[in-house]
Amino acid sequence: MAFPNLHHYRSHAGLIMFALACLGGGAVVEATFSETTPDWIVTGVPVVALLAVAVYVFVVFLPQRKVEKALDRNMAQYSRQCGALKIALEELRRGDLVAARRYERDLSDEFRHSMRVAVRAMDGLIGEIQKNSIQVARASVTVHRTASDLASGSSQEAAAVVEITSTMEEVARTAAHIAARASRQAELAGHSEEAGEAGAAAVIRALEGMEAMRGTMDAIAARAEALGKRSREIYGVLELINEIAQETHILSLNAGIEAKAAGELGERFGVVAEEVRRLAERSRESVDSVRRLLDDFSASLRDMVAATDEGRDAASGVLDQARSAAEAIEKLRGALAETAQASQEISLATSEQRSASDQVVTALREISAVVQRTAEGLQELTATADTLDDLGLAIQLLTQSFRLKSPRSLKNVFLGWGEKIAGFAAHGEAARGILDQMIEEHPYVEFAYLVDREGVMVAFAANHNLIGERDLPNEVGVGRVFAERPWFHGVIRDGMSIVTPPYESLVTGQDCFTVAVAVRDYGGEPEGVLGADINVGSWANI
Amino acid sequence: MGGRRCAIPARRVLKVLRRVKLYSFPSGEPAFLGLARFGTEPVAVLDGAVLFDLEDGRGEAGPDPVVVMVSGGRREQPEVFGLLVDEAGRTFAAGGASVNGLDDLTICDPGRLRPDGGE
Repeated sequence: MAFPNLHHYRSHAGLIMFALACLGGGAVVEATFSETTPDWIVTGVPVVALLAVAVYVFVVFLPQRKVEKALDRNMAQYSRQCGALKIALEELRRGDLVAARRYERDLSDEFRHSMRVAVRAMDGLIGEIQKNSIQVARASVTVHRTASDLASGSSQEAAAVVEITSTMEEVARTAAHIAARASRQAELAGHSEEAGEAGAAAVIRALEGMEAMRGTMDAIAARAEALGKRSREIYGVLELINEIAQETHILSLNAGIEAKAAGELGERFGVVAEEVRRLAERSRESVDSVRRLLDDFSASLRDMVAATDEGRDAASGVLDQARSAAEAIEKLRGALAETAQASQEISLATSEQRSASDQVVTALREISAVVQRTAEGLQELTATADTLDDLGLAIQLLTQSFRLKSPRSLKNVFLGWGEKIAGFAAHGEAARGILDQMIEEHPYVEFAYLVDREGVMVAFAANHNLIGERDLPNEVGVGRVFAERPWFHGVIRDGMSIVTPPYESLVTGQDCFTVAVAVRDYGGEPEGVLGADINVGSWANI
Repeated sequence: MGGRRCAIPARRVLKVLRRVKLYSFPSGEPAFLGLARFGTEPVAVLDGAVLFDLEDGRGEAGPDPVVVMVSGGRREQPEVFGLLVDEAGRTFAAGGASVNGLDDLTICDPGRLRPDGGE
């Protein structure tokens, strides 16, 4: 609605009325004092003047008064709206979108709509940013964990690669050693093969010699057999001679007996008989002597035959052993040949193995370099994840500077708790119970406390799932004074909800930030401060 | 006989035989060895060592035993029998001279044997 330019209208109307009044007054005076002026002019002018005044009143003054009243009303409304807008904008400046919407009803429709749209847009945007920052934090945690796992795996891989590399190098050295030994073995096998051939030839010669020796022994045995046969024949002859000698002896005895019986006539016969007996005696002695010689010869022959037999047996045994040795040497030659070939194959295989091992070692070194680069990349990734986490936290803290009507808006959440705990500032146990309940519903809070208007701690509660069973420091406890803390000042003095930057917790020694809100009495006056220390490590659970 | 050197009077000796085939059969006489053919007559062959009591029991025969056919027994009733000796030596003239220096010569006279075997 466009306000009419009352001053312009009023000034013009007044001027016209004044001009008419002057004209009318002048006309009346002139008419009165002029005798030539007709009477109707003298009568009409006042009428016209009165008419003008009436017109002025009804056309100008009264509407003007009406308009002025409307104007005053509009101005008042405008002032109220401006005030509400100012307060709303102030609340917006302070980030309290919830409080800003409280003054919407005092705005014009247009402003209300615009304010609502703007606040809704900001609410949505900030809420989206909060949600995304939490997702970023969770993603960074996931990335961090994955990178840590990968880094750990890479470390293990690197250690395994180092171990494998060391093992492969050892294998390569062993392969080289084996190759050298195999080559030497092949060389020795070659020499052994030659020695085996020489040995086989020697054995063959020995066999031939043994065969010849056995043949000789057989010949000796045959000759001994022949000699034995001859000696047996000689024995037979000697036996015959002995027999003849015996018979001759008996004959000579009988002849001697007959000679004795013949008396003197037989004396000469007796002498002959005696000579014959002596001859037979000598024959027997010769036979005995020859027999003794023959016995000795036979004994020697038997010994020789026995020795020859033993020699033949020994030669046969040696021959058999030589044949066995020849077979063994032949087998050994074959085995040596196979060994030589196998040694050459082993030498070749170990050379190839060594080459392959060297290639594997080279590949492992490349893998180790890749793993090292991967580990370095993972370290960078971990650092980036930490940066993302810090960034997410910074964004979250930035968004937490706004109060939204959202369960993720800490100011809004703890202001709600502040309303619950209001009135219990003087009742420590009751306040403790509410703080315990708050921690239970918000497990990311590691420490919650209520201080009174003077900054004295009235009650506190600790989240033992986060701080463990450690003892609380002496600076923390009922009765301690926190009036000098910035968050206390900000709440009590400025009436603002505070979200501090991260700092080191006195309780856990880890990073945390504090959300401090005012606890107001029924009159809206702050009677204390509700504080909640949020562990940085748990902020993604908001 | 019986490992001793013995001498038999030549007048008693009829003949010395070698390789006499003996036909033995059980007899109560310890010296009896068997029968042998002497000419056409069978004669008894006795172990000289047992007969003249030269050793205990019947001994082993020598390597070439001979049978000396002798006539013994009483003069009025001489008998021919054979004496198995280990070895027959030689004849020599007696008269106190030793034979090759051996003084252990035993005189065995078959003529002094009684029919019951004693002398």
